[in-house]
Amino acid sequence: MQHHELWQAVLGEIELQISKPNFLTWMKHSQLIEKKEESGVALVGLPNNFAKEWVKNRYHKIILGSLRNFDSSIKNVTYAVVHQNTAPIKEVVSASDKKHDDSPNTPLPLELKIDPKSNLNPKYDLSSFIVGSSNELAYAAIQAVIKDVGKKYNPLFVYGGVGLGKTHLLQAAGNEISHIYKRSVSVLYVTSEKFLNDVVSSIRNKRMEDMKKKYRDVDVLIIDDIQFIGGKATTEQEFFHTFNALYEHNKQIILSSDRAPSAIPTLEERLRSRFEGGMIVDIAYPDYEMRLAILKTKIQNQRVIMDEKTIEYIASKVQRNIRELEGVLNKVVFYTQYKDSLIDQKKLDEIINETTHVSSRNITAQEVIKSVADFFEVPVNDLINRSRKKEIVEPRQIAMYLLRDMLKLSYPHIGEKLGKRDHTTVIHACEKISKDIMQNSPLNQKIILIKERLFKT
Amino acid sequence: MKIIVLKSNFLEALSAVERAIGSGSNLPVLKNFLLRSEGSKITAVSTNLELAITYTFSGKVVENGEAVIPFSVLYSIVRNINSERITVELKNKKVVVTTDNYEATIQGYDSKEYPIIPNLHDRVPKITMTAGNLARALENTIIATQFSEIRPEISGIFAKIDSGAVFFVGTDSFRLAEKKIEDARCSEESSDVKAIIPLRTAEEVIRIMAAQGESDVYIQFDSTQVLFKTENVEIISRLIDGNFPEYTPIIPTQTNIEVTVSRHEFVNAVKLTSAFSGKMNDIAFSVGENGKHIELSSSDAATGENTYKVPAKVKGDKISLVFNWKYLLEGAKVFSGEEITLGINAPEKPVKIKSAGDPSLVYVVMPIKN
Repeated sequence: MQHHELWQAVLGEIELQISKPNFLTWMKHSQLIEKKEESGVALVGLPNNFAKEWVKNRYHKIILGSLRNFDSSIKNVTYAVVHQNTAPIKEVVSASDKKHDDSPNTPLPLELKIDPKSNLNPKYDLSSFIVGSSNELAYAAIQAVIKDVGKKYNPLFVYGGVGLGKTHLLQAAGNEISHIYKRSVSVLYVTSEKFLNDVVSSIRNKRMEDMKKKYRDVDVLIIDDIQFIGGKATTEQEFFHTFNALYEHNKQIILSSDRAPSAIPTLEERLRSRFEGGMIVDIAYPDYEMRLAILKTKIQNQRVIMDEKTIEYIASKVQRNIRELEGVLNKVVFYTQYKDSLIDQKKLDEIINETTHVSSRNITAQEVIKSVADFFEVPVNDLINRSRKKEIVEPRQIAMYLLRDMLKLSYPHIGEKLGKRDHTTVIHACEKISKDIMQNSPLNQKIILIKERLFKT
Repeated sequence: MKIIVLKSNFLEALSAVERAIGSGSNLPVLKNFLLRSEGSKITAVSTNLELAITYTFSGKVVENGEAVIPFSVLYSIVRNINSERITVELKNKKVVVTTDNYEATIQGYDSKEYPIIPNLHDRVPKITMTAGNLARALENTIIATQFSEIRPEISGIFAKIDSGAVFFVGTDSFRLAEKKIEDARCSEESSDVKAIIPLRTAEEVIRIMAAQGESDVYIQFDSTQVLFKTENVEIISRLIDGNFPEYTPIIPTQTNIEVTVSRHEFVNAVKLTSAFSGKMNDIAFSVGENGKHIELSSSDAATGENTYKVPAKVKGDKISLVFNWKYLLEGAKVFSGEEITLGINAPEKPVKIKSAGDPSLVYVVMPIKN
């Protein structure tokens, strides 16, 4: 922002000193890129080499003088060519006979397209998947599956929250498999919604055979968001048979869901047991370093420049969801390019808040207690009362843990909130739960679900 | 400045720099060109700030100096003068053109007003090839290129170096032409060259280089501009900023059906059958049962229909496709060999045209969906 304002002021001065056509041609699209504090050298960006040569040779003195009027720490000016995201300057097409009649010609497949056979989107590949501690297990499992299709981990069940990269991983695995094994292995990627629609339409059109052929003749079946088939009896049944047919023939099955099989309430028992028979891996929330790595890769891919501080700030603020991370980044990039200036703190906070409104929402202790009570279907009062029944104790301890973990309340205060208990009781509960989370994955899953509910409301 | 030049030399120089004269809408000085005499060298320079052409020609230098002269005025004078020798002199900031029996005084500009032409000279030449080869390669690929405001990255000729060979590629997203030049000499640091040369620049390079025959041309790239340099001409142009699409997967590596026809006869057949093609420019192409000929046909409900049988050597099954005849014609014409071979896979897959007589050139065209 500072640079931008300084440069506008300089341009204002220069405009008075040189003729209008010269100003429009050479200076209009210039910008101040950076100013090195220690050496006092300012870098001025110009749209093309002609402008660079001209400005360097003719206007150097004027520019340096004007800059020094506003900022006496500047000692020298250097110039560089920067491409701007403006429309290209119109060219006169001299070959008039090459005009296109807008005939419905079929274009060459220049863009990446979704492969109609496998349904895979080539934009996802494994090399762009960023691995960190929260997803390295899932990544390793996928690698193993790619190496030994259908033999090692079958089925592979990947679960994790929204926007953590499940789809990316699954699609990338599909792409990688079809890339390595070429035509000898056929891959099919569908969402569970597509599967459901196929079941419905094949029932309606009495074409069940086609459906069976489509899904049972593949070597690798990938189904995304499998939790949605829960509770849909016919689809579950059809999937069950498909699953068995594939499994018997050692065909690879890869599934994803937003929660573990045991936590999908409406899933039939026989499906659940089959899912659990293979390999189950989870993708957790990315840690700070990983978020930073993701942001930096995205920035590199988009070929934009952003200062380190902003990147770090975004990574520290947007914690729960990689898709939101991308969203914030895109907005910031758009803002800087559109406004042609660096983003200030206030605007940055605004962007982050509007994208990830949940993370900044104030959650009260009451809400935490209530959602824990709701989750376990016990009355709120029971949590506060003296009851030491087993089915009450665990929720109460979870509530204490969450109050501590999420709201950073003091132990005595938590005790106060939950029926005037002693702070040592609270300490014990928090320690117990944090320890149990490590070993007891259903408990972990419960806590994640409660948190999700809290953030959703 | 004072020079004495032959009319023919001067005219040659002026027509060489003509296309880079700017429209001058923003900067009136761009409607002019710069004439410079230095030692024994006379150069004419023009630029529209996208492209700059510097042309060196011979003449007698009486006095060193520079003048900026309105191009259209001087060009029409030189074209119509009938004396052999022309004297150009800068007197009191006015340009005086004299012959034995003619004198003109032109209001010029201060030479300090003229844009400075950017430089790449201090680098090693990156690619060397003959001017004729360069012109032919650009000519071959420019036919498939078209200016597009929506997709600037394909409004130019893509140049890249891959394992020692230089590739030029043009596409308008309906067809694609790729030309490989193997006998170019590339310096070591040129292996990472990937550049998109604007269509307009490519047209100028073709025009100027075609006249240079078999002399050498140096091509240098940096991240924003390209320089083409021969003994007496230098063309500097900006490059298009963008990523050229990954085109290699589009060129079919294997083809199931291969049809070899006489190029001359095929061109004739396409021209003839196009007479009845409709708005879509569509003509039908089919490989007959016996594999001895192909049939080109077009029909229009209002005007009529026609069919042309072209003898051909056919490998593979029979097949029918529909093409835009213009694309097919341009594709067939671009080759220089006696025969061309069409490699076909399926009615909706890209078709590859090659010629045994011209193996470095590949033309890919997409059939029209039926």
